[in-house]
Parts: sequence; C-alpha cells; structure tokens
Amino acid sequence: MSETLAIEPVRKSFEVELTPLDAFQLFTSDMASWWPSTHHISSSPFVEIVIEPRAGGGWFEVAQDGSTCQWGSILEWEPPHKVVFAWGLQGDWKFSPDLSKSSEVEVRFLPMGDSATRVEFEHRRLERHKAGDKVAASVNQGWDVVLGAFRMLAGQRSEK
Amino acid sequence: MTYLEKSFEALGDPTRLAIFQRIANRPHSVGEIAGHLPVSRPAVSQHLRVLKLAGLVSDVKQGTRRVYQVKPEGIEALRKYFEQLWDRNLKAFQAAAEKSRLEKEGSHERNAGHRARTKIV
Repeated sequence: MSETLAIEPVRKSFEVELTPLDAFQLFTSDMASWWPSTHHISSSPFVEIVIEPRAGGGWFEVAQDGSTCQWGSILEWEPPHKVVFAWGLQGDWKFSPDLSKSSEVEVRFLPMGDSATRVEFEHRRLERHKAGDKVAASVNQGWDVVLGAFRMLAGQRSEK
Repeated sequence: MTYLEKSFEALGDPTRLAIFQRIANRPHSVGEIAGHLPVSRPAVSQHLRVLKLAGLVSDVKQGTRRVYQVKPEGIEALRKYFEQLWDRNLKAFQAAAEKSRLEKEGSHERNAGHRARTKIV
C-alpha cells in the first residue's frame, strides 16, 4: 500500500579522532557547542540544547528567556554506541508529539582502533512529515500535497 | 530561500495548488487544466511557469500540445532540505570533535612528547 512507500533516508558517515564515548558525549550532552546557532525555532537563538539521557526523554532547545521549544524525543539510548531521536518538527516548524508523524534520526558510533570512531548517521521515515488534521496554513498544505504526490508517483512506479 | 521554501511558496497560491493537484493525479495539458478550472489559458500558463521554476513540474511535447507532469526530483524537496541541514550540522560536529581532540592531545603532549596525527576526514 502507499503508506509503506518511503523517501530515501539521508545518510552520512565520517570518522572522528575521538573514542566512541567522547564522540557520543559531544554529540548528545554538548549539542549546543556544535549545532549551528542559525538553526533554532524559538524567536531568539538557543542557549542550550537539552537531551534527556534515556529512552522516552525529551530533546528541546532552551532560549535566552528560559522558554523551551521541543524538537523531538529519544527513542533509543545506548551509550556510547547508538542514539535514535524522533524528529517531531513538522513542515511549519511546529512540534508534534505524535510519533507516527515524526521522522527518525539514528546515530551510531563504531570504534576504529584505539581512539577513533566511525559515525554513521541516518535520517529516515521522512515521508511521515505530512500535514496534520487541520490543514490550514499553505505551508502545511504544500507539505501534504508534495508528499501525497510523491507517494502516489512512487505507487504508480511500483505497480508497473 | 531554501529549495523547500521555494516549493512551498509556489504551492501557497490556491489556484496553483489546485493546478498542481490535478497534475499530480495524472499529466495534463494547458487546455485540459483550463477546461476544468475557472481560469484562463494564459493564467494557467503563468501558474505552470511558477511551478516549473520551483522544480515541481516538468513539461514534455506530445504532438502539437505540451503536457505537464509532476517532477519526482521536485517533490523530494523535503529530502534535499534535510540533506543540506545535516551536511552543514555534521560538518560542524566534526569540527567540534577535532577541536576537542586537539585539546585532549595538547594536555597529553605536555607530558608524553610529540605524536603526529594528521588524519582528517
């Protein structure tokens, strides 16, 4: 059925000269130190990005005035080897706690010798970001239509 | 403006959205679209030009008429958006990892002497 059709995941992999534990900690507990500050959804830049270190924990930015904006949650927490996030930000940059509308970001840290790590990154299930029940904003509509059309096209192709 | 925003802007107009939805169902010619919607042919052509510029539709010539279809690359705008976002963010992470490594090594070197490590991915 069309629901199973997917947008190809975004994948990246690279090496860093840190142990898996150091790389994992930098990625998760110190995210604000490297996440570009231009990418924020509050009206002001974030001062902190919080990842609650457990499955089911939150993932959110903290603005200068102390307000928070949720980005997603933690689906799997296996330090120092693997973390899986749910990306809950929708096309209008509003957060949805509904996991069926969230994509998944998986980051794995594989040891390479004594002190290096291969980072394997995947952002998958992107097709889940379609508009919610209230399709009001044109941005949301665009999102829904774009993805609907994509699913339909992919469906046509697989039927042939 | 990102690729995604351009696509969304193109679909922000209700008439253009209606035209895109028709084309998404199956390829249409300008005349067919104008026949189904209360819009003149020149106006339809203008809307199609915007959709084409946003990378959402492409056109092919079939005999004497021009047929418009949804462009698969265009509707992968979402993927392109995340591709760009992670490309930038993960490069920033790599730079931070390198900085952290140099700091750690700096404190080691003061005790253990020089070790050459030049591997950069």
